[in-house]
Amino acid sequence: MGSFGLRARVGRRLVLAAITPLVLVVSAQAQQPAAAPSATPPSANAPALPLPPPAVPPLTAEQAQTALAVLRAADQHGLQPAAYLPKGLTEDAALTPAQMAALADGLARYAHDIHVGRLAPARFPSLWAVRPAPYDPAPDLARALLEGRLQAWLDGLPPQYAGYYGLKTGLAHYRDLAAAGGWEPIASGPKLDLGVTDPRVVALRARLAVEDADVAVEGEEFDEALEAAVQRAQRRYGLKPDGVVGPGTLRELNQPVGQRVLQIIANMERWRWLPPTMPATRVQVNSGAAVVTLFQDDKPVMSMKAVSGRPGDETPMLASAIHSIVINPPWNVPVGIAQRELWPKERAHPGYFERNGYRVIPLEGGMSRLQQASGDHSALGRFKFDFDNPFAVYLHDTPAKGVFELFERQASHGCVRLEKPRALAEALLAGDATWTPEAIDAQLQTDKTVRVALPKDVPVFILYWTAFAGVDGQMQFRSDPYGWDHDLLVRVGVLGQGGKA
Amino acid sequence: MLRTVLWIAAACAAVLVALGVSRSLHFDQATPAQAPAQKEAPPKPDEKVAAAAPAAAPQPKAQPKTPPTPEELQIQEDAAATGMTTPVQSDPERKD
Repeated sequence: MGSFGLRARVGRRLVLAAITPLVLVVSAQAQQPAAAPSATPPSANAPALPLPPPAVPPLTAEQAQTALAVLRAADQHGLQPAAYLPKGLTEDAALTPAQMAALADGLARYAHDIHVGRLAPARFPSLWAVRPAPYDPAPDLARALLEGRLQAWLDGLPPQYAGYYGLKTGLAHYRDLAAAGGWEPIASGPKLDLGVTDPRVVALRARLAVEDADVAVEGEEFDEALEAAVQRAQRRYGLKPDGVVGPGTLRELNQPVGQRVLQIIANMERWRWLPPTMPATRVQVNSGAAVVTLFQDDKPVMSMKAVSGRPGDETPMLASAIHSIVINPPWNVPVGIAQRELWPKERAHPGYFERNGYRVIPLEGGMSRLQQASGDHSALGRFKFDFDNPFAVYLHDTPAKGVFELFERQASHGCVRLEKPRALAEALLAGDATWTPEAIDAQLQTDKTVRVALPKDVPVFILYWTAFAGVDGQMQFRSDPYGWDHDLLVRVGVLGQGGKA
Repeated sequence: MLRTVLWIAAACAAVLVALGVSRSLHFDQATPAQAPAQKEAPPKPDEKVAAAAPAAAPQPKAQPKTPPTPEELQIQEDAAATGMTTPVQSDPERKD
């Protein structure tokens, strides 16, 4: 009995010892909140509590070093390292807890700025309608830290586009040029061209040689080699490549190197507003250079000159999708254009409306509007490419082809005129069994208006670039016709109100 | 009696082990949890040389690339001007 009692007690304790962990595990599991699938909506009875911000775990020493290296190199992306680095850093000393906290905070701000830019949504002017989606980097940062892939995450934050990295390379190059002293301005004076001998030719050679290694720096004579170098420079600045150094060429050559650096920084900022990926087929417009490109399968397959809005009637930056093409479009004249430009012409030269195909359409309340009939005189030409946007702009043909011979083509009321609208129409309608080139020809024989819905909407991006790397990798600049580079740099705090860009 | 108790204890231990194994398999998740990315150790200099060495397989003769026509070149130049939005995988200049 005694031994049996002892065995029984030992047995009970063994059972308890064996079962206790099981009970504890089961009860612990019961206490854990059920992991609801993310797609499950919260219960209607449960009050919707705001989720606390995701906690960013503390950085390890190795992660802190990675973060410091990236933030110190922020200027390679046109950002200012001091805006993100903790204060009071010393070379060798370990970071204090306060500096570690400031580092994590600075890293999150850097991640935001390099991914979607520094311009707060409320500070975008209405015409800058290409805007990034709001981005909170905290959850991604926390995940990257926990999963030990901080560097890879940071590497993927800048815009992953060839154009952006072309600018990054250009920024480093022009900063090097600035560090080496940049260039001296060429004195103003009579135009310089082939055959001229002038002391200013020496200054011209020195100036060109800074950006063009093929220029000989010796000699006062303007020879053929120098003429070719001037033409190369004119192409880089979007000027007429006539090889003559007149006031326009001189103005571009005399822009200080620091100005070019700022121009690159402004354009890098705009790249951050684009979506992370672009649709494979798209139409892109650069209103700053007045050029249009059609991309198919992510490759440029067609391009043409354009005419964009003149200063004061700037073509907005926007993203939309072309849904239809109007063949033989009439022009419904906007009220402002009618009042400012057309009615004065009719009053000064009666019969102007009739001669140019305008008719006055009466409206209720004694008002009227103007419409120009379709046909050869129509200001919209024979093709109009429609896409939804709040600015009432579109791409269209024009009867005034002479403007395409100009090199500064900011001359429209805000719409984008196309040099080769027929080619673009055929490309967008390719595969449409009804609207073959022959059918388009037949429609053009009449002046009858027809709206053709595209088989599939084609995304269109109207952008504004004034600095970009050319095919040869060399930087090209445009004259910032809308002054938006300066405006942007002021808005993001790179320039003060009086600064130049 | 002791044998019975020991059997019960062994059964409970087996249950506990099974429970532990099941938790490690994440049956309650739609996809298996990913292991954290392993940071690769930088290769030693001699390993870099070895990695850079061409493979032993014979390389096909590279076809001479035909230069772009003036029209193709113009399209490329215009594409650069409208924003070269062709994607790149990462910073081409980054040296790991």
